[in-house]
Amino acid sequence: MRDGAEEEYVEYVTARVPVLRRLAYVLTGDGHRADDLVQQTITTLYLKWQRARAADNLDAYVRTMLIRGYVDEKRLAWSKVRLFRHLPEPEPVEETGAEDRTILRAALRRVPRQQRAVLVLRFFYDLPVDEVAGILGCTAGTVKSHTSRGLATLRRLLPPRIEVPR
Amino acid sequence: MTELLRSLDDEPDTPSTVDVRRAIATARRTRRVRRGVTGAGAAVVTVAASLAGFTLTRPTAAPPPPVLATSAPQPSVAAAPTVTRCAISRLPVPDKAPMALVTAADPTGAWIAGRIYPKSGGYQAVLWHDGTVAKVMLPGDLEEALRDVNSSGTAVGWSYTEDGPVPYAYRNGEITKLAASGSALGINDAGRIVGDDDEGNAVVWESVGAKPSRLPAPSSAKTVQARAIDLDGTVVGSLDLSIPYIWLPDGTHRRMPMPEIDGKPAAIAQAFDIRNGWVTGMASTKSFKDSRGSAPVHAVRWNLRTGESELVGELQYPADAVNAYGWQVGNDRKGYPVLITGEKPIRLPGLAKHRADGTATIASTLSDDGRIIAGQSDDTTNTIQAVMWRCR
Repeated sequence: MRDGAEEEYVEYVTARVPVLRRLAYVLTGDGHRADDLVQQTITTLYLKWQRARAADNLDAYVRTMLIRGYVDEKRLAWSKVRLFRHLPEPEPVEETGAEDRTILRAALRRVPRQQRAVLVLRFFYDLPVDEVAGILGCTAGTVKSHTSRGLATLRRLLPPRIEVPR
Repeated sequence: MTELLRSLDDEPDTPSTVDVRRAIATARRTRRVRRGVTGAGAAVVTVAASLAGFTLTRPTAAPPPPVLATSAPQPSVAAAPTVTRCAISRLPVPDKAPMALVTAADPTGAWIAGRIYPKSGGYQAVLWHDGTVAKVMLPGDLEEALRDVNSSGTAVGWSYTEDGPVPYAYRNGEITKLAASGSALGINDAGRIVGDDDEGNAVVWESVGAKPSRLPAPSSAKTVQARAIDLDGTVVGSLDLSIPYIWLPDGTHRRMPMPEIDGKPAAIAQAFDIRNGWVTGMASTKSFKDSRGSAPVHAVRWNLRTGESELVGELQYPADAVNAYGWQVGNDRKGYPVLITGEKPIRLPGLAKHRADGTATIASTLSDDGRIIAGQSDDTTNTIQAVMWRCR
């Protein structure tokens, strides 16, 4: 990479790390895994920098990279789960008197990954169904079904006082 | 829901371990390793490329091509029937699987493809025909989906492996791997298949046994998607998820006209489905890349005979399917699944409660005669179930 481009990369990434950590945190619900995901994303970004910097909206490009990285990780994890031929139903979050945010984060962590990615993109980022489909590389129908299942799971996991809108 | 999730908008409470210098060092090492491998890989690709030709070969015995705004493909059906109401029923599932959904159906509605979610976890592709259901044992254990089926019962789709998706065709119990990687997304009654190579290129298979050849596209496009194929071999899709694109059977290809939103051309549009010269898709006034994408997504229908496009105001999301008369199924503004024939939209019943966001019941397929629709509907426990509607 030419020096100018590398400087540009460092400057861009340094400024974006806080935003990327927020996104990774809401997806993974775990600080360490969030940082791993961000680290992996900015490593790939370096390799693709020449192409990425030409993108119309670099932020959206990098966000897509991070989310795809997250979903791919899920696809790898599937093979391990299938070995046991068993997928335990997550337990509802216990009412411990913690803040709603903490409880919500714990519940979200138990929602299956692809559903969680769809919920975050549709409601955290307010993205329309088709854009989510574009980011995740699936159909609008899949996004809709993941939204529906994700909300249903979340409803079941949260204590009744935290209402998940219909 | 937005407010609820936005409350989580903060950084992890653990100190950051993200390190830009380490990212650069790791990336440089990866690049060195990759360079070592690419030489051999490139040689292999060249051989494959010359075999496949990388050109669009004309399908044999295809009906005359539609040309935008000049002539029309032969309609495959006679005068449009009248449909006034639809009744829902559950499709049978093997192994008492708790969840199931429909992914595709052929133009007659006799073949319906879908997948079930076995109790043991994961996904299992299935094919319904004549009231019975067969499991389609695609290799790979991660995730699988059949994305289209034609009226001879040949289904195409993909199965995910550790290295990404692999395209497959299935007929009569026999599974054919179509390429080393990619996805098969559409098949017409002539057996011509479209899909992608998982590297941003659209590909076409002239038949199940054929090698894939790349569909030509402007070199400026990074991601070329071919989503569906018409009876005469016409293929539609998009460039960079922003420009609706069409490949005609004579080998030519071009942008489709941008739909107008409030009198101005849309910023982006994509074609998702095609049947008998009717194309459905989406359009928006804002590019995906413009951050939060608060601009609404409109449902669009193009008529290739006239070259015209129109917004489908009745639909909340782009149509999920289109038939030979240009009828569409989708979810209306209140979230109800509807059949749109040009008359008053016909609401389809669900298995249980309705939800305004259009996720409780989704109609995914529509037969040419408008009488068979298949899709999914949440049951009383909010679990997705595969269903079909018979309309009369």
